[in-house]
Amino acid sequence: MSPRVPGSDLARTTALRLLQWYPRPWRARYEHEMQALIEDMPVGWGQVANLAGAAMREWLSPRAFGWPARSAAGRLQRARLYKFIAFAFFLDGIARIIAARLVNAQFVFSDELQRNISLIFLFLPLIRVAWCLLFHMRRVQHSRLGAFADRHVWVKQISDWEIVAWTVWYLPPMVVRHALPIPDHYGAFMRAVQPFEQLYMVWLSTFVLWQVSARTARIRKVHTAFLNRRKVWPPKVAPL
Amino acid sequence: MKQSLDSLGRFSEAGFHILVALAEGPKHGYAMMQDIEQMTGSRPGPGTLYAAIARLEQKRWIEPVASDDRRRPYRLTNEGRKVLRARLAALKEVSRIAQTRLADA
Repeated sequence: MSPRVPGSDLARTTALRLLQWYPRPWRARYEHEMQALIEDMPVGWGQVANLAGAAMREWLSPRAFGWPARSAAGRLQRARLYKFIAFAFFLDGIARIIAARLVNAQFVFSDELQRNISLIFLFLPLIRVAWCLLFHMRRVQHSRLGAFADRHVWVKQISDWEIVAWTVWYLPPMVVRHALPIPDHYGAFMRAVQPFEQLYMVWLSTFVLWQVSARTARIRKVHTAFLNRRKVWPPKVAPL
Repeated sequence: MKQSLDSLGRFSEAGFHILVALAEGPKHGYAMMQDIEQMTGSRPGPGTLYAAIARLEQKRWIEPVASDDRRRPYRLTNEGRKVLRARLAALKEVSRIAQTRLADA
């Protein structure tokens, strides 16, 4: 066991968490080194403030966006996201067709029906995401549940097909939203935005699902390895 | 174009301290931090230290040494050594002038 380093444990934990605030390319290159440094040095709240300030500064630096070299893994990752967004648009189109038919058939959407649809179809995927995020906690990883999830990976990881399935799952609330008239109290901005409201919800949910997916984790690993290879480091970027 | 530490902007001082620390030999982040604390009496923050390291590395004045450990050491490059020498020469001149003026006063 390594000797105990002086300093506040809470400050150290906060400092380690603050590393997540840095731009991703920065983290890919320096996160492990900075973690080791924070573990070695005595950490106080002054250091935490220093890290928070430095993280903000890096976002303002041209390198925050200039660093990520394009790798095949990075391109694949982006293509996946575009694919899911295109699918969400496709689904929105279907929802509009179904909604138009229901309106023509004089179908009545009661308040209770609307509420139940929202509860079932919007919250269930969010619960699934929260469940997957639970396995990012060290305490859960080392528990029996974590061991079980290691044997049955689908418990803690979302596959691409599951993302597609959850996106389809959103169809009923999308239909309801498109079938309902725009409320009178909505201003010009809300009137312009409202028809796409549900689509934004699907994008957001898809993005969250995509972030916690197993494939994203694997591709990110490959991309990080690419950023760290000797040929591209240090990168040629504009002077600071 | 002649490169100087001033091009590091707000990190020129931290950059200078890092170059001085590495003049002795390869060092990792915490060793640099301790060395700088011994030299200047104040410890740079981890954010400032790594911001300066990144900029020095980008300018190829320092370079990482291959290591399996997370504590990756860095060493001075020839270019970095030249930049450090130039800065020390400038400081020496300023110091000489200041000493002369103080003696005259």
